[in-house]
Amino acid sequence: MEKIILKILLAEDDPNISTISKITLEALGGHQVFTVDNGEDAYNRALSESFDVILLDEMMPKMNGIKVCKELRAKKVKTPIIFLSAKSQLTDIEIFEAIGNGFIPKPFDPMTLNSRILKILEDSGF
Amino acid sequence: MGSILFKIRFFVLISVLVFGASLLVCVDAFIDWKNTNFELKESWKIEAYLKAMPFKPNATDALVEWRKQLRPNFRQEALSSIIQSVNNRSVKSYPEKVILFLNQENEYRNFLSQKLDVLRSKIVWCLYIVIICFIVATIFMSIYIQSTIFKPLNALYLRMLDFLNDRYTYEFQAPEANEIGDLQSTFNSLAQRVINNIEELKTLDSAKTEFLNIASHELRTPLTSIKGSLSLLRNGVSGEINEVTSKLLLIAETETDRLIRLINDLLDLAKIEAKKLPLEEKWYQIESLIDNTFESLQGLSGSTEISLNIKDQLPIDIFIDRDRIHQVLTNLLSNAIKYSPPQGIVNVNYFVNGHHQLVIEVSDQGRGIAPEDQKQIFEKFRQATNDRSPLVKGTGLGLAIARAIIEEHGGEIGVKSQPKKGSTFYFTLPKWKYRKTKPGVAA
Repeated sequence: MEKIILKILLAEDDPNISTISKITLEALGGHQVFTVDNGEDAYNRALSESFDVILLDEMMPKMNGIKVCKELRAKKVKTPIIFLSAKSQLTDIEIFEAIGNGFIPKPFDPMTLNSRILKILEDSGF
Repeated sequence: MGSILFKIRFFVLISVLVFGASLLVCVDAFIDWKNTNFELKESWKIEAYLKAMPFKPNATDALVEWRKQLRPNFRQEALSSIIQSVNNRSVKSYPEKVILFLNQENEYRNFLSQKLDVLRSKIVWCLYIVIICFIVATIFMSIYIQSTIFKPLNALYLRMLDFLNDRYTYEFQAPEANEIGDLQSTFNSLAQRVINNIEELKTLDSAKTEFLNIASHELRTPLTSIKGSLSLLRNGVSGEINEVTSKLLLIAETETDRLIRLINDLLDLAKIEAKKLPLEEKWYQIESLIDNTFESLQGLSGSTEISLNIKDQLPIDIFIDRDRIHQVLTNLLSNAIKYSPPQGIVNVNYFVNGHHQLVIEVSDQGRGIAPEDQKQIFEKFRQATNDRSPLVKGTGLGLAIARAIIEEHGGEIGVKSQPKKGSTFYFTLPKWKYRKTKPGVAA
């Protein structure tokens, strides 16, 4: 299997989870990970640079994940967006899947993060 | 304060006094009238007697008797002189005296008839006053009672009704200083106290909710980081580790995991018990619910085979909070998987029972639950003893949560089990209906 190296934007306000995710994605997938810690920065970064995938925490200061996603889509940014959220009710999941490309419930096992991202990307045809 | 009572008593007293006085005057006048009338008749009788009296010695006896009754004195004197002239046989002066007496009597009778007229009108006026007094008193009393008792009572009643319907209308004007006013101010203070208590409860309640929310976030976040870091370390992401370290890290990771689940379950249970999770009930297809739960658990099953074994595919819609029932099913299924032997089979089935209730069953081929444990396992922190694998230790709250959720849906949850043959957990849902399907089209 060919190793896919992605350029990832990770928006997560908790520095620990952000670090862990960055380490695991870099170590296990060899991806390039850029982190921001609030919704506004995520939005600006995603507009100014192009990424292969954007990981959005749902609850973030300044702008929540859903809003970031909606604004980006409004600006015709087609980058796949995956939500990370502790809200794992079926109704929430439906919302995440409807406006983004996928959803990874928190807390997640960092060891599976990479494969889950790849699977979601594969499922949505990237 | 007895101001209304005092006023009414005072009024009744005055009325009784006026009434009684008028009545007394009336009765007095009536007696006077009767006596006067009698006197008048006597006077006529005397006159008739004198006119008819034969001039003989014993004839004066009756006159002497009459004289005693006569008032005032001048009548007695006139009669006395008649009696004297009869006794003295003075025939000459007799007629003169009789005429004098009769004239005098005539005048006196005139006076009496005038007196009678006066008395009669006095009686009539007194009666008028009594009647008017009575009518006025009645009207005044009814108006007074109406305005000071029944009107405010009714207003208070309406305010109480309002209060009962959670609308408190505050009475701005100060209550009057009487019994009704006391009642009103007592109600005001009572209502105020109830409102204060409610406010206090609301504050407590929101504090509790806030605590639950903070606890869920603040406790989970660090645990997530701990667990993630442990997992990365254990999997050698940061460099090779030896076997002992790996074992220790596994223990730390598993226990962190258990802590996370425990916190989740505790918070769930607390929320359900605090009614912080109102059911969001909607109609859902039962098949899709079961399928969803099934899919989400496929990864967990390991060597256990979980299979759907639905006897008759009934097209049924259930009225449920999908997330909650999903949680119940997940709990039951993961329990079943957890307690299944290797290569065991877990079955899910649903049907309508004799009581017209929908029953969903999850059965496993585990070692079963002893009868004495069957009730206890639905209590908090109660698990059947001797877990097969310490690594899948549960929190002991899953079934308690399931029971709370099912009971909130109006259903029942239970278990049928034979030791060594497996257990069947079931729950009932009272709100369901057959889905209308077009004839000839498979559901």
